Amino acid sequence: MDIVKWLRNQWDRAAAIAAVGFGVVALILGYLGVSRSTLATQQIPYLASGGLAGLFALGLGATLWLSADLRDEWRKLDLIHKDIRLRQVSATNGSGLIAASKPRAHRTRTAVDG
Amino acid sequence: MDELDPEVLSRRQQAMWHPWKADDMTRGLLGQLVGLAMMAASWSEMSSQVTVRGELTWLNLGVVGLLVCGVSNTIWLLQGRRNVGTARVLVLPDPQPRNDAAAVAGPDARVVVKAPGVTMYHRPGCPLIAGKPTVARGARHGRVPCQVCQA
Repeated sequence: MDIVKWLRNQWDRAAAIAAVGFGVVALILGYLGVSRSTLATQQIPYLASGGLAGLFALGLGATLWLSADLRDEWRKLDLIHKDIRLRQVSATNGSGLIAASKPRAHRTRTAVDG
Repeated sequence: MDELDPEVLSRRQQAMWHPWKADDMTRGLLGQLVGLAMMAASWSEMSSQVTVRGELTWLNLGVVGLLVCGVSNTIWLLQGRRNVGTARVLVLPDPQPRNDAAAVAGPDARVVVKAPGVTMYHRPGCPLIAGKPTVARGARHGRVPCQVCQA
């Protein structure tokens, strides 16, 4: 798999993976910081930085991934819509136009698109 | 309902490569920025506090900021889901329900209909099976339509 091509096509999913990774790391670091501190005044800042930032990053990653799914669905609908319109136009203008005016096949992204 | 007009949707689909309108994007971005600002302020102010009470006060602000971000994300996704659903209904309308019973006997009240996944039998015009694929069954003994049909 060409990783650069995948990153270009799936930038939103790549960002989602990065955000989730960052969130997990932030949560772990926050946990380690809290566990190594003895005073509550030392623990709370770890909670605020590691905990809140980690949860925010996890939420952002999930949102980005689901947004990518919605965007894929939108593009697929757009493809179908264009195809339907093309067939309607060709039906009104007569046959043979489909082959002449068929748009270049453009791929719909999938989660495993490489 | 201008946004449900197929022509408007068609133009919008040609112009957009994602299901969110400019208003949705602005709202989502604003929510994220407000939430992030609250979290940043919480983190910044907390570092200057020396008591637990003072830290917890600013931690509360950070939690509220996190909630703002979460709500903003949820609204973003729900709006996208809604826009995709609207487009799907307009581009791919549901096929006409295949109502075998209506083909066999029309609105004959004595014919009962069985739909997959539906436990009871229904008459052809029953609203509970409207839009669902149905299979006609004879009005044999023991098959009783649902209570809506009987009403």
